[in-house]
Amino acid sequence: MPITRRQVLKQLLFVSAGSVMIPSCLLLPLKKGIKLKHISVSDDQEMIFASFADTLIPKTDTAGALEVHADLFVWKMLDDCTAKEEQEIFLKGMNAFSAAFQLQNKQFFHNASSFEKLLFLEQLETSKESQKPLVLFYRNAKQQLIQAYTGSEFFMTNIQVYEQIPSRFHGCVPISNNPIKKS
Amino acid sequence: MSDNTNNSKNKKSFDAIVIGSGMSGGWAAKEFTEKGWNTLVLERGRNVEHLKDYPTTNKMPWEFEHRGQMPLEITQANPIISRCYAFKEDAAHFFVKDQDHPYQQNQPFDWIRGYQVGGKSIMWARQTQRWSDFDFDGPARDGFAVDWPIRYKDLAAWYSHVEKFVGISGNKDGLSILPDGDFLPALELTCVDHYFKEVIQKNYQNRHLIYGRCAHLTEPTALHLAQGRGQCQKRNLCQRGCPFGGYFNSNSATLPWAAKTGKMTLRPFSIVHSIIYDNQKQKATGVRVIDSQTKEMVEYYAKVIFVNAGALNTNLILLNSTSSRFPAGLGNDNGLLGKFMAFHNYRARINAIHEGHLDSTTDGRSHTSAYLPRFRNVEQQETDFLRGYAAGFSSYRSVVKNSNGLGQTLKMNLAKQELGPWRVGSHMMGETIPKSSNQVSLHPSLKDQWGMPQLNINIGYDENDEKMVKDYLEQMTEMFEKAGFTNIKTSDSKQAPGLDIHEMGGVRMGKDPKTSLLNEFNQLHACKNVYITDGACMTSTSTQNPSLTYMALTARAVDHAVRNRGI
Repeated sequence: MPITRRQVLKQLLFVSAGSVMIPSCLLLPLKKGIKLKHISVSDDQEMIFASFADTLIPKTDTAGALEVHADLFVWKMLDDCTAKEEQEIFLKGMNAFSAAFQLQNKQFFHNASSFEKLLFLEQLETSKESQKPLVLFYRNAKQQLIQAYTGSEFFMTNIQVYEQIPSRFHGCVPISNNPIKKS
Repeated sequence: MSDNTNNSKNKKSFDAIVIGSGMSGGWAAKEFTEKGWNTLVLERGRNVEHLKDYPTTNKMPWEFEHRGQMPLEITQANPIISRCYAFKEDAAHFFVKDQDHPYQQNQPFDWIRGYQVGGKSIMWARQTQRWSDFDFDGPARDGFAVDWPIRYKDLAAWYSHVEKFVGISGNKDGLSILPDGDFLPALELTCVDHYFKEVIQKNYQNRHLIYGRCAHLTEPTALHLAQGRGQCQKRNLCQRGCPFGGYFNSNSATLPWAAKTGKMTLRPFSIVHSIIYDNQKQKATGVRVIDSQTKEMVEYYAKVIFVNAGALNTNLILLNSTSSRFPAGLGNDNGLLGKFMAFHNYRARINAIHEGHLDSTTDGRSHTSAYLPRFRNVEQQETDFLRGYAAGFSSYRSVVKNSNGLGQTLKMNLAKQELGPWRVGSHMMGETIPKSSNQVSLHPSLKDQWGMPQLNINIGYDENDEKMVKDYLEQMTEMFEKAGFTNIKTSDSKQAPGLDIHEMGGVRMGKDPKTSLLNEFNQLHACKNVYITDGACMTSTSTQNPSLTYMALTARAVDHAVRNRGI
């Protein structure tokens, strides 16, 4: 079927692109400034969030958040599809995040070592203070990045394959016969 | 102009004029042209050609700028259309934006419109059930509206005629409340649908869960292949327009069929201003059209005029068609034009968890769900409200997303897809009672950008609707409990009328010209060469999704018009 061929081709293209993939630290934005319509984001904020995304979902043997531009997609959704109050909460949370990191590590998040960054996110991941603005920001940002990542072409063609044309419906199949449903 | 256009652009006289190219207008076009009548089809919006004008149809989810979500700027500027479930990045271009086509709401009413060739048939939800005499008998038995001038026997053959061409997937269920039709094979129900069906069967005599009949080509016949349509591929992206023609819309089926006869002239960008009435001939002679691009007024003439503009716009056109003979609108001798509107009550929902059947799931995608036909007040009145409701029922295996952890751990968790329990849900489709106070009228001064009067819409719920919402939730909760479903949650969205997109009435059929506008063949009592066969003609609403009935009424009315040679 033509679509299947197309999907296969796309996967091949991805694989060949992957073979020349550069280390993810070089994928961090070079202070070019992303173009947004409604909110303004400083170079530092952009760098910090990219670094956050890279720490949360790093490049391993598969693409990470930065390769699929998950951070840029989160900015876009924040800019185009998010209410003003929510935008402000996000940006304030981001600043609180940055300030808290600097206080603890005496440097910007994106300049820190992977170990320091991971350690800091671990603290937030396991924090019990669920109403603290910093923790709220972490959880929201993480959720947004996950959505951006799992909705990306890479994820939907390689990890959990989206089938546009199933051409079938079976109302009742045993789980063992369903390859993607093994847990 | 479109490829479907024949003859010269300057042609002004036709055998028939059809106003509107949606669900019922497409059928009028097909039937007239097949019978050899030169037919002008007027569409207020742009042309949408099958395949060519479905810009999003093959897009992958990640190819949409916002992955389907509408930008806030658009939803804030267009609050009404943004409440429609299908107004998403993949189909938004088929819906009317609030700002472009304003109307006045005396009570909240979400008027959902699709102004293009094909109308809302492009984005419809494709559910198709026949009416039975339990529905046609309703008003007479229960003493509301007026008696329908037709019964099931008058429409049965026309239902078949339409079903064979459209292609309806369904089972012969043998239910008197929901007559069987000419069906293509049904898809499977899910394991949990089957389970719930058995629970209902065991506990209730007159409740039956069935496969929801729908306009999909599960196994196309020669007639469907001749239309250039093919088998439904279970994509469930129908609202974008289907590259396979797997579901029915005007664009893939009736309009190209009509174009092939060489008898159809399709004129997009044509807003009908009014119907021209000739006092001496005592009939309608044509229509006045505003070209939406040049704003020029043009007249076209024909023996017969079919108004299929969509229920509310059909009312608007008739109200705007004034003359010395009909100062209050065409055919409106009794002052009832625009009154006794009704709709379907979709307010209530219920959902729950089913903890059984954990060893099974579904595979692929279904384009429909299970359906529970009306069981309230069927044989006799048994509740403190009139009529009843049908219900959709769906079940699916949930997927648990694990987003715990960081880095490599998180990536591994995201890659896994663990199954959660089955989730079940249902929504109501309640009959509403047409009332004189539920009405539309022309605003005395406000106009749209083409100088057409804006519509005043005054349609609301009543006590009967409130009782029905309550009963639906009680009865469904009881059925869910009998099935052992857990974590049952009910909700009443309180959504405004209109969002059901099943607005009906205003030009109702009836036996008596004193109390109705249309006769048993959908002709205006007072102007017999004008036929109304869209939602505006409906005397009552029953609970069925209405499109199939509009199509059958249309085919029957064209047959009548042609037999009578336009009177």
